Amino acid sequence: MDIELIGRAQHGDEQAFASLTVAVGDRLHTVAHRILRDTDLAEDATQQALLAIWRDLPTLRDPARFDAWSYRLLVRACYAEGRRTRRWTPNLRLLPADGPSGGEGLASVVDRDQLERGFRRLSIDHRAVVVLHHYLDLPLDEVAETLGVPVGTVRSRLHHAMRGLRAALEADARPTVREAIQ
Amino acid sequence: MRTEPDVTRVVRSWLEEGVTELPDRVLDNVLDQLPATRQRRPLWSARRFLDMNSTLKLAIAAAAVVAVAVAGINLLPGWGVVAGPPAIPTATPTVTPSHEPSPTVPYVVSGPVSGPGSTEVAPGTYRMRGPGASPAGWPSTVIVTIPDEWEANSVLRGGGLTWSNDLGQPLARLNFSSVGNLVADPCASRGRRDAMLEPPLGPSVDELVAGLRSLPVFEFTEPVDVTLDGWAAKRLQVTHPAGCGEALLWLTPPDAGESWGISSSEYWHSTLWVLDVDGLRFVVIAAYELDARGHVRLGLERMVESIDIEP
Repeated sequence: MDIELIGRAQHGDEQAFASLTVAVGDRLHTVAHRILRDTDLAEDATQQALLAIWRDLPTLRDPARFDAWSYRLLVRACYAEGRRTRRWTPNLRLLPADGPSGGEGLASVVDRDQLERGFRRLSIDHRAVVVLHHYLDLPLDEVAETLGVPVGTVRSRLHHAMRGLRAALEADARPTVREAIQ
Repeated sequence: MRTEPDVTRVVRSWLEEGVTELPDRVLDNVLDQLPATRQRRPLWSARRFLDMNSTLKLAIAAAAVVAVAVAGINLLPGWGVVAGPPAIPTATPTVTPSHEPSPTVPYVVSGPVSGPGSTEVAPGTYRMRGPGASPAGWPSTVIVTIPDEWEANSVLRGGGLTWSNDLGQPLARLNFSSVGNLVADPCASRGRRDAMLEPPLGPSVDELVAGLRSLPVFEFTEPVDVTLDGWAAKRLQVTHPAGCGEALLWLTPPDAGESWGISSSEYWHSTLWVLDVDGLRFVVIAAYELDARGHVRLGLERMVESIDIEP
């Protein structure tokens, strides 16, 4: 990250912050989407996180820690969005131009569906740990620092989350509710 | 039985999928709000405050209170921080604000909007147009009136009008949409494009109604022949299946390289009017949360009654 850009934004330079936003916006949105599993909520969370970053940037003592610090604000925004909109609303939403294609990668269609269901059953706390560790490849101590919790807590949450996802994957051998009622 | 490394590999692969780009309108919303969002100074600089005289302290304290109040208002849900159509450049309520056509989203041509960079809407009459220079599947203009009793925190988002409560929780929504093709299994699709109806949906009202009613798991009522603003329409209601979460029902026709989808949700009651506007199929959706009180539903009905569609 451009330390000089961060420094200028810390002193209220809106142009510098605009450049910073362009640089980090996609990355924050990508993480928010993986945690919340909803395009609208992820957009709102990213927007809130970017405003929080602008608001609190002068309090960031070490600009080199910007990435971890911004993820912490993003996860907070994800908590807020997750609480605020438990009930989804009918909506018109923009779809990604390049949706995932079936059959590619390690996750099969069935796996994806089971993972989606399993992941949605996890709390935001657990989802955040999975995404930060397995998507961003952050070591557990950095995940702990980002979330502001002890490493032991991160390890415990990751274990619980992965156990839940494994159970969801292994449930594919059992009939789904829809199959069962037909 | 999968080994732990197997599960980790599958989870990592799955996490790689999905959206990666933040829409420009979200960035625009953020940048629009910067002037009204005061930066917090670090605590250690507050020491300078001790060196000031009492009058200056009081003046700065008063200014800080005002700034916090302004920032607080701007951060209230539904007051400018909600992602939505492009900003409408006007600072005060007006009758005909100008706006450049958006290439991707339905937008308001004119109406009593308030606040620069805001997506809030106030009671009054709005003229809306579809996305793009030649909006696929949209009539030339849709006019709708938000009744007086709708709160000022109603917001526009993705071409819909929303009535939210003080906490920003939506209570009712009115959407307008064209329909390209239906999602084959809305509950299972999760928005993936590889689950569209095959063969694709035809262009007529009857084909859409039949297609909707054939969707798995979803239950649509028998269509009723009605008119809306004088246009022939089929009206039907939908019950969202329990446990289905957010379900994508259809995609709009491809336009400007992007597609929009209409999603349905649990705990909401939705009524659809599938209209024939001079041979053009167009859909109006009125939805309210099941807990919404009578005056919310009544307001929604009045909005539907106010719709004026110009072909």
